[in-house]
Amino acid sequence: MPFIADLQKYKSLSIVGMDKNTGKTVCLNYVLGRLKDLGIKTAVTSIGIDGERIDQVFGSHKPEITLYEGMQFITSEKHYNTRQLLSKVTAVDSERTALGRLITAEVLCSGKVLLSGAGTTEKLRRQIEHFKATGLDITIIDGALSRLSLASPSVTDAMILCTGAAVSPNLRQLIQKTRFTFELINLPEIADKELQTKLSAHRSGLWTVDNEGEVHNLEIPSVFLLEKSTQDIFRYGHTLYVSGAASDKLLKYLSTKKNIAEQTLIVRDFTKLFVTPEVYAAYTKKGGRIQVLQQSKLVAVCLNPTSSHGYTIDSAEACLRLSEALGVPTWDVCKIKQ
Amino acid sequence: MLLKDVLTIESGLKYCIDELNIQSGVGRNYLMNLRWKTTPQDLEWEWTFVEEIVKQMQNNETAKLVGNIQHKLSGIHNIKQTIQNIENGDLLDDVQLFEVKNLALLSIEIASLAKEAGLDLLFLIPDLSEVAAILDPDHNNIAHFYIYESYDPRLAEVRNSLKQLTNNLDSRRNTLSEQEVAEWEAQITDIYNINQSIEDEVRKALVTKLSRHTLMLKAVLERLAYIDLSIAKAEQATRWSMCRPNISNTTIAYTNLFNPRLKHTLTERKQRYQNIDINISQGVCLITGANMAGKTVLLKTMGIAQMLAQFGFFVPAQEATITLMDKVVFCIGDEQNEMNGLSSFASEILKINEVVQESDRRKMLVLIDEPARTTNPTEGKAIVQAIASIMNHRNSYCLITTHYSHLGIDCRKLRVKGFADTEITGTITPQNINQYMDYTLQEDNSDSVPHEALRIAEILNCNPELITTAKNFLEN
Repeated sequence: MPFIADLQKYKSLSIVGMDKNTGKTVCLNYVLGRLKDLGIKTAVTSIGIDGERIDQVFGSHKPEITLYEGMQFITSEKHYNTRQLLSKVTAVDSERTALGRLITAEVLCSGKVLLSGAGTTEKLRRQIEHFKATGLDITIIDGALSRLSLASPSVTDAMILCTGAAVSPNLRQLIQKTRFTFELINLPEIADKELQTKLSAHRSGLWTVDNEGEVHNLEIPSVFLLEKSTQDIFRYGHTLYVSGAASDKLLKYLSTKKNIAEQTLIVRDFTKLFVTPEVYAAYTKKGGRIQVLQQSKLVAVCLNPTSSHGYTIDSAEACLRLSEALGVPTWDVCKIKQ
Repeated sequence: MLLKDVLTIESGLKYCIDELNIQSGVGRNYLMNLRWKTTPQDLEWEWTFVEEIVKQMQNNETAKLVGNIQHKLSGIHNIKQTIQNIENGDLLDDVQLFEVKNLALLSIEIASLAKEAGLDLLFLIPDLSEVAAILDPDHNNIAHFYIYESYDPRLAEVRNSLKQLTNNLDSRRNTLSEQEVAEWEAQITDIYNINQSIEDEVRKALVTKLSRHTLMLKAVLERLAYIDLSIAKAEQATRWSMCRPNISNTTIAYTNLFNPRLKHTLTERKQRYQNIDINISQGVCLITGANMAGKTVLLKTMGIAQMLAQFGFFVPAQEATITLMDKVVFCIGDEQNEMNGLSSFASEILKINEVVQESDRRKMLVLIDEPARTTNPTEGKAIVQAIASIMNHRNSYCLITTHYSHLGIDCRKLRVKGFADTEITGTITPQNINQYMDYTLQEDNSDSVPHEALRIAEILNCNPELITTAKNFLEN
């Protein structure tokens, strides 16, 4: 029973995919089945629409989500009414989504359901808090499309990353792309806990840290206005904290600075990094370093060897080579059940 | 006239409305559709209710109960559509039935909290215990819902076999062939469908039972909306120290009247805000005073207070007496009429024309800020004289601010004291000018107005050349 024991350490888990059809739902079904066997009190919801019988983008077949007796779940009114299980409504949200209000329910007899959840990570956070408060052991969030934002440690405690032939039918490329995401997820957390607290408090803007650990506001509201700044952004120190998103443009800009080898860029967490492998590689090669305030806990990497376009890669070889490349075990979601 | 129709007239009124802590959507809806009330009985009833709640909020024990009621109110959803569905005899799904049950349970809880807080006489919430009983066959008294087994003995049987089948399949899935799993799943679907058809029978029976209570459900929804709004009114009245007005037939009078938005802004900036005492009666009252003496704010505040009162709110003053009006008319001159191709004078004079025409039929509070200030002073003065002399004999209460002197009209005149010369220590800046202003209104029997425009221009640091030149022209 791979990686399930690890899950018991966390109160919330996100299952995110590097692309569509990377087997998130199969993986979720596996996890739910095992959690049921272990008697762990579980709640499930998703971000946006997921669990549709027919994939919304490619029109290909998708497995439904199976929930077991006693589990709590949140889905939209529309999907609640098409459920194939017995359940009781325990709460109705007053806000409306595109698919109606969000319904919280408890499963009375196991069966299948389509999941569609809150559209914002803020709302997800509140739901996780609610489930925690009502005494549940773990809340699992099923990701939608290739949204990684819910894997932010500020939303969920731990994550499972799904990858597969949908990312690339070429095994070498698949490994490269997965390794890059893996590398970002595992960016080191800053060691200075005091500084971590200080920086966490800043929700917007750009900040630098001097040698004494003092934080200075650069008075630049966003990285997009960085080039307009006439002052040297490293006038206080070599450590730059970007509270919002960090892009290729930022890394390129930082690469042109003469202190590149002393630079440390700090971002909130890996989901704030919107960078391509090439630019990231160029930046680090020159000596630039990136750290995160909070590191995500990656519980497992799962692989779906089949893509929606019909390509299938050799599962055993892919898992083996990915495990080697990443240094952590990778599981084939289709075979993991057996 | 509904509240939502007049909200755009004066932004200060909108501020008061936006600052209400209303908990439910039905409450907000009720608020927007409040009617302008012109009968004393209606208003006294509203104010008495608000006053009752204000009293409860002053006591720690009962204030907590009112807080609990507010918390419960935040869970009230607008289920008008569902009630309509029941009336139509449509089948309700679990979510809709949950909503009805939730409303019933919450209304019972709110009624009991209200009783505990001593508000039972006025809180006439229809009792929905029967509705709750219909949707709570097991007497759990918890807001969750599904088609319970106790509704139909067949349900327990069907669901047991469903559970057995699913559990068996779950435990044996890995040992079965794909075809066997499919067969098994088909069997589960069949039983699930049987369950659904029994559920539908139950739903139909439930809707029939509920259809006897739709009037009650509607009444409860409306009453809860009303209670939500009334608590919000009382909470705001307490927060802002507002008072219950008295009704008179001859006067509008305020002690310590204040403009909520301006007071809030100045307090935030740690600046002084001066409350105003004022009383007016039928006819015209001219208000004069230096520039920046708060004349426009006074007019707006009078209008806001009158509107709040007649929509059943308390008013921003320490004491208040009001005469009920058919409407309030603002001619403040900041209307955006350029879009209609009208000059500022044209749009103003048309508005005044409307007032003059309407004032022989209706009793209005008319607030005119510096009429005819955008045209030549000779004709302008004559226009002001005409407005004042006509309106002075109408049934309306009319407040007019002006800088024209020697109008020669026999009406009431009030003057804002203005700069307190003696107290000035240190430099005056545009930012602190209001610290040196005395906004008190005093009776003024003279026919002249203050000449302080140049002095204020000086204080505002205008170009010295401009000021000396103006002074030279004045002297010659």
